[in-house]
Amino acid sequence: MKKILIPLVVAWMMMPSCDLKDVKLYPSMSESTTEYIHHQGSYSETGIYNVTEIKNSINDLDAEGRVTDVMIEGLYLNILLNTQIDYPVTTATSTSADLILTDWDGIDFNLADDVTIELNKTSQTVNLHEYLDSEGVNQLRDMLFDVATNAVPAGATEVRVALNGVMTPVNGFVNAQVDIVIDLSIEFTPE
Amino acid sequence: MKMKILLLPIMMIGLMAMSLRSSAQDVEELLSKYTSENGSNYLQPFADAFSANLNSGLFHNARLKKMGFQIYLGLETQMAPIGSDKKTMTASTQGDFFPSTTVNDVPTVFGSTEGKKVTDSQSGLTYVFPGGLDLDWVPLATPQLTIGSVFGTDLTLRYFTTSQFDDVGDIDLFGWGIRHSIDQYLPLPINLTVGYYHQTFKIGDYMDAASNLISLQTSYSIPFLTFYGGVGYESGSMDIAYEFEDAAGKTQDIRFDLTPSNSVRMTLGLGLNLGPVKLHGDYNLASQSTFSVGMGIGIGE
Repeated sequence: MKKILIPLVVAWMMMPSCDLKDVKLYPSMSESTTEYIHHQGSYSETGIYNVTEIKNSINDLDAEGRVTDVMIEGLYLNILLNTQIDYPVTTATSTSADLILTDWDGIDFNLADDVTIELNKTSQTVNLHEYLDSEGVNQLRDMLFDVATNAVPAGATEVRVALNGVMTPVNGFVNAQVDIVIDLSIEFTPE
Repeated sequence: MKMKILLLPIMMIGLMAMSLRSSAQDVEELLSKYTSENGSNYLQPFADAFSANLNSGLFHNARLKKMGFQIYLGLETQMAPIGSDKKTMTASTQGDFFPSTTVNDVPTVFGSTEGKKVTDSQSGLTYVFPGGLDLDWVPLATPQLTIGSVFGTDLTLRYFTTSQFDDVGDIDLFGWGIRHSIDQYLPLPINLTVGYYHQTFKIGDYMDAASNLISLQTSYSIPFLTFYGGVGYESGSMDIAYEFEDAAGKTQDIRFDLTPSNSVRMTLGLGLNLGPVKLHGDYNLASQSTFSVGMGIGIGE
């Protein structure tokens, strides 16, 4: 009797493990680029995200499987004033800037429009959600997906985001370090 | 991400070690997204199922001698079926995603393996709630010893410990219970006892669970068969703690203090007595119901 009962009990207990499904994972990561602005009146600086570094960060994530989606969850600026001692201190009271993404073909997309930054704190974070242009964000997402899936066109090594802005007052000076940070979630589907 | 958790207790019998080891790793990654109320809601069904399992299979008759040797040593297995209501939750977006959005039908730890994505059409930003393990059942198995009877009272013990999983620390189960016969005082056609059980379950520094059950038990035996049942009131706690490293590399200590939802349970079961070999199965009706099957050697029962 025991010979029959034990395998029955064991088989019954094993049932749920047979039900285990392949699980999609969504680890998070951040990518950032730093721009140094020391200008009077207006400025245009370009930040560069290195494709190889992004790819390495994705590879370092604690997940296995095929990348099936990339989601941009947030975009923000980390701003430090007066970090460059070789330049005058900031005199502008505010700045208004656009973020411009350049795609693999060299076409520009507005990533964020008219970002207004009050320059009254030595350190601040500006969340860009209210300034974002969905077309530019979707383009950035597509480019990052290309990076994650090894679909970057031959010869392309960088994702470029320019920060173009003007000061208030117009003759004001800005001495700032600006990090453009992208928060991402990557979808991994088991193979 | 340094966090090792949860589904390991299910592995205690070792039968499912291979498949569930990978599940534990998956849960670690899935839960990494959650650091606040979402995390509690995500894990609540696990606390419910685990606690309900722990409080199941504790008795299979209510017959206690007033004075005399009685012993039962067996393996108790429990299964908690996961209903569809335990597979989804309402959750809110967290982190740098704006505007903050509340979303229904987000998977819990037992929900769909597919995450739920929310896109803000104006900004193009997308927030993803992680999926679950898509489980329909949660199993558990516990060794159990019941010994008596002194003045119509017996003692039940559950114990299990292992250090096999280096990266999570020791896994320890300890439980005790005491029952006292009521029918020794009253002329009843059935056996009737009242019992109290307390159990603790620990996984290293990551999980600390406790459960209590007070139950009124009854049984009626004919040759080879015992019909048994009972009503009980249960309570418990489950504390889960881990270290979370966010996307920026910052480490936070995360802690979830969960309270299993079960309170009242009703048990209905049938035992098969084949000499010293005892086989029994029961159904426990509660907010989180369970099935329990046990097999062991019983003498003097």
